[in-house]
Amino acid sequence: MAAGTAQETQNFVTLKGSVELIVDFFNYSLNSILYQRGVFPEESFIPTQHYGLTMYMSKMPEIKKYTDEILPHLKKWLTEGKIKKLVLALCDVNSKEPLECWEFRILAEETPTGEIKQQGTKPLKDIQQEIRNVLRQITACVTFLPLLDCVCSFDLQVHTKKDTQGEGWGDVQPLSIQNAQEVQLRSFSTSIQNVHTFVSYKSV
Amino acid sequence: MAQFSIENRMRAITMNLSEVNLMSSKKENQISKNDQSTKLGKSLCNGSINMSLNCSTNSQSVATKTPKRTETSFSNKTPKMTQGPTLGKPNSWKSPGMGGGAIRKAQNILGDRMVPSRSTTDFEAAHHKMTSEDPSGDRVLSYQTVQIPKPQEAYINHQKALYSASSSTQKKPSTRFIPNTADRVLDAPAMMNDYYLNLLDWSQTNFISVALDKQVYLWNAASGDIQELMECEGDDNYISSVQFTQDGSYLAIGLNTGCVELWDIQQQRRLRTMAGHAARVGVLAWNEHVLSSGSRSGLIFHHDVRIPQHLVASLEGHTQEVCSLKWSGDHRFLASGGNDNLVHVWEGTSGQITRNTPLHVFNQHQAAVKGMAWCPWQNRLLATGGGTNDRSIKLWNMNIGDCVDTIDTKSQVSGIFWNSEYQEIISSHGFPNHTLQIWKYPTKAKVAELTGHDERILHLAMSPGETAVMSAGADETLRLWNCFQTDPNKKKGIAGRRNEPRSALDAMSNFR
Repeated sequence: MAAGTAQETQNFVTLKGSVELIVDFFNYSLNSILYQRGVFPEESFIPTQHYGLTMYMSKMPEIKKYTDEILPHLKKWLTEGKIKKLVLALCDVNSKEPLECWEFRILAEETPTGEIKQQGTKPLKDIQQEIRNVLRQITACVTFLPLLDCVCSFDLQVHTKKDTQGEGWGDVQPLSIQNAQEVQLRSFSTSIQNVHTFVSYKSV
Repeated sequence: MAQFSIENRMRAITMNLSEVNLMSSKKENQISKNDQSTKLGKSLCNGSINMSLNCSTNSQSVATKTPKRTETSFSNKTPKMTQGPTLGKPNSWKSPGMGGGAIRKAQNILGDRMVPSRSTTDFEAAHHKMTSEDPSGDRVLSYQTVQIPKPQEAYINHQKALYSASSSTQKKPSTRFIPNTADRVLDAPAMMNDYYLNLLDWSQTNFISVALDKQVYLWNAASGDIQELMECEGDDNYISSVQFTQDGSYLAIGLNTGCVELWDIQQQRRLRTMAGHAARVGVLAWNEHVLSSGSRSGLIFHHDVRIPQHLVASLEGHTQEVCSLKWSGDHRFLASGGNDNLVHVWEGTSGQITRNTPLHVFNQHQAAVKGMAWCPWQNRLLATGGGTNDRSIKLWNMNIGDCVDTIDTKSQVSGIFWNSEYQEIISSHGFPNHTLQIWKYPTKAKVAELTGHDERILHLAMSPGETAVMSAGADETLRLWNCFQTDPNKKKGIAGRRNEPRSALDAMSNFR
């Protein structure tokens, strides 16, 4: 792999940095969605500053434990280029029916030889700006998404390539919403991986 | 019959492809559209080919119908709703494969038995589908070691406030009389229903300027006379902001083209046009002869209106549309709020421009910040209100540089004003309640809720004596509320002075 000059390597992300950015973005999105959509009580979140935004992070120990355990797996798989998409579904606790799905499709930019790029070509500042815009849009989605008028919980599904191994993970049926209406939000690119965000919900 | 054709004509497999496709397409039209499973069962081996074709055509139509957002530098924050092909209908309603027209066309050009028509077959897509990775090989994984927590059964979604139009906060009975209906209702036809504009202002000389699409009207609040001040030119041009100078003798008008015009009220003529912004000017603020303008591009310009080269400074802070700009009473600070949910505070002095770097950046709002007002009796106190997703008024202390208090209003905040006499805050609201609310400061108790507007309130202006407010709603009405009338029995001396129209000098002496 052709690494850039010293100057470039300072300013541009590497594959590792790109993965970190995406996992961070995912973590903040997950918490933000849980807060903004009112899945958990407002009091169980604390405001934190990140990307120059106020993000609400859950302080429930169960959620922290969950994210702490899954994020390293996601990091590993992203580095290996195994993940195709992450689906965060908000489901009715009683009927288990998915009411809203947040999809993060991840597309790795491959070199001509079909490998994952190791070195990006985009300054960190630009990437963070793009991420900030997506996070703002996630917040703004509340204005058109229908109210989740029942006790809800979330479920996370990772769509991966066939040869993915991970301890503690099991195969499940993919969730889908009947009569879904899908809205695409902004995308961002680390110049190594692209993340496209979608939200789909039951159209009434 | 599909099987038959494939068994018997193995040599001409490509030919069959198109015929098979045709046959099953015809069949689909006959069978009930919901009954896809039986059709798939019958066509067995060609099913996969056919399905792949169907998939490819369907996914193409998805791709074209839901175009990817092209990101411009000042596109809206709220994602645009694009209607997918499945809106309101079950997936199976959409008949797969080609439309009826294509089939009929194919039948007509069926010529030689050995040279098949391939017009209905998208070979490129089929090839792509057959050679690209089989999606069924993917795994869908879920982490099963840690149980995902559930909220308690009795928990009620806090977002419900957005969807239920009833206001839940208890009103505190007021010690004074506040009329709960509007004193006057004026028609404002063609008022633009845009939250990010500022189309209403009330001058110290008791004129109300209101912009209705292309025209600016002046309403004399004392006599009730209405006159048209100007009409802007250009097909897709419209007025995006109006703002009187502090003494009320000039009016600055921001346009969709990015120009700012300066008008003399007395002579009713245009004094100058100041270009500069690349996008519409949604908000204006005066600091003596310095006019600050905020644009959709996120830039704030300072114009010195006395000199030919009017553009004296630009402030780069916001990344999205600036929708509020207010100078503090002593002109020490300029506060700006934007669609990027940020509040910036810039340090300045009277009649001067501000520094280029913000003194404070507040990012606690969860939506665009439009309502904004400096406290008249505490110079370092700023109140800002957030949009639909935020619904709160936040109070900021400039000395501490942090939020000191928050009022949950349960509605989108579109305008805020302070009243010195009663030490109250009045705020106008949009979705979902469309009301005006009056809050006691600093107890945050709700004093009154004024209803009347049928749709969201977009703009709010306060009279020079702080006795009344005017609200402009998306229901194309202007409503005048006499909600801060002075009590004639109380504080007679002050009240008498307050009712007189103030001179510009008085206004200046009040800013202390």
